[in-house]
Amino acid sequence: MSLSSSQLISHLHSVFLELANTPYPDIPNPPTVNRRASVALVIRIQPDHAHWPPPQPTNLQDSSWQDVRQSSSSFSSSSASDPAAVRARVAAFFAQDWVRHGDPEVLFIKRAARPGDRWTSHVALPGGRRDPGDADDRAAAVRECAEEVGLDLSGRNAVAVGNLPQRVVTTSWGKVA
Amino acid sequence: MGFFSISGCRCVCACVDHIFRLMVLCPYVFLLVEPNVPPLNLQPTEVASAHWVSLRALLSPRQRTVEYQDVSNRLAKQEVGVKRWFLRMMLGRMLFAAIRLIPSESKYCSTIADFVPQETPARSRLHTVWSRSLPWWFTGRKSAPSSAPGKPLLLWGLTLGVAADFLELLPPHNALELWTYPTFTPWDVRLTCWAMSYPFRTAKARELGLSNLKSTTLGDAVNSWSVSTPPHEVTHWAAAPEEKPGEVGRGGLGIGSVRNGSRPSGVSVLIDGYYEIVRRAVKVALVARLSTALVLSVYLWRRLRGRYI
Repeated sequence: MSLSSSQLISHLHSVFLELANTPYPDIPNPPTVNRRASVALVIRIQPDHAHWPPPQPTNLQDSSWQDVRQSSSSFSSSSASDPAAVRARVAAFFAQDWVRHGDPEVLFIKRAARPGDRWTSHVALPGGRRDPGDADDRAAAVRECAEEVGLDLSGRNAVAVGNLPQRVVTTSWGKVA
Repeated sequence: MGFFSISGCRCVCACVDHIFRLMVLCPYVFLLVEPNVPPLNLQPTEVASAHWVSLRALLSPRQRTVEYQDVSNRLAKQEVGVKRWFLRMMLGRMLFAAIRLIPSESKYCSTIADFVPQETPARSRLHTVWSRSLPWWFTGRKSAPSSAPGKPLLLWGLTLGVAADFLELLPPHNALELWTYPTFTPWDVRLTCWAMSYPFRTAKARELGLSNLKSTTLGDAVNSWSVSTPPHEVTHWAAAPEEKPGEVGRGGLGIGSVRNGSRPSGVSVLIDGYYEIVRRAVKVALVARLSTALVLSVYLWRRLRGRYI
């Protein structure tokens, strides 16, 4: 039982609303863990041949277009995480005809081969370690995505929908005897 | 199976307990609202290629497969005097669940070092034939990486765990119900892992309210889909601050249903504690091999002695 594209779009809309309404809690660092890392699961809608998006309107008074693209000019976690604003932008986005007939896609990267790197040549999501200069974990994901693939998630072209469960990553191959 | 020394067995068994806590991983979901995505600018030191993959491909059962990983280097780092080839011969490789990615659009970073394969000194044909005739576990020869251009892209490990948490939110909400667990390629090790982890796995399935938690058995290891994380990427859900670190709380576990935002990663819950059982199962399987080998050799020696004396 596989979903059609239109069913999938509808369910995706619901999932985004849910992620916006009920974010997963932040996991504090355990005593022996110093590092935090973030990854970005970036989703776009690939338009269908028969339902191509209209050219970008020159009329800036178009309210539906403004609803979708409205965003703070600079990235701020408070506005990005406001559930009502996210819900409004997501609803306006999914109201568009080309989106309802489109095919959702996820961005994956393949890491460059580096000797000694534990993640070498792995398929991964864009992301990396959080730096001291990052405002929060989401800002780290935005920065890493911009550095690694040149995709700007902080501007008007992206909506920070929410997050997924955080986890402590360990390396363990413990006692056998 | 093969014979191996008692000292080798002891070296394998006497692993030192190392748990290296690496980091807290925080995934975030973003939606691109512009229909025209500008060309991606890939960072050569980090990224070899980028791929847009349809969600339908990620949800499709037909794209589920397995990834083989040689973990002997990680085991060998913690052993003293045990060569990597010995571990590879004994334990084979580990099997992990993977999803075959079908990109609709791919971009390759053409400025990385290996984009055009480097020229290597010409080798004699004899050398090539000789090296290819040796077993894979002796030379450590790997098959072509799954992510080389032209080869299928395989999503597995930690990233698959993150993706599974997202896919679980979409119908038919079976990303976790199709779980199996990582195991090894040799049949005796695999059987031991399956048998010794059975109570653990059924308990986990009950805890998450999953109706059908599959396990990897002898026959269906290739056909089943095991979403798992390799031993170098064991993930533990760190409990909410009011609980003890490392414990998995039962509150809010509503996988696949209306959520209250506090549930942990389903992947982390399923895998938490599994590798301890695998370690014990590996020890049991290797001891069983040694015992069988000794019994067989004593039997054969007696028969030969009876025949010629």
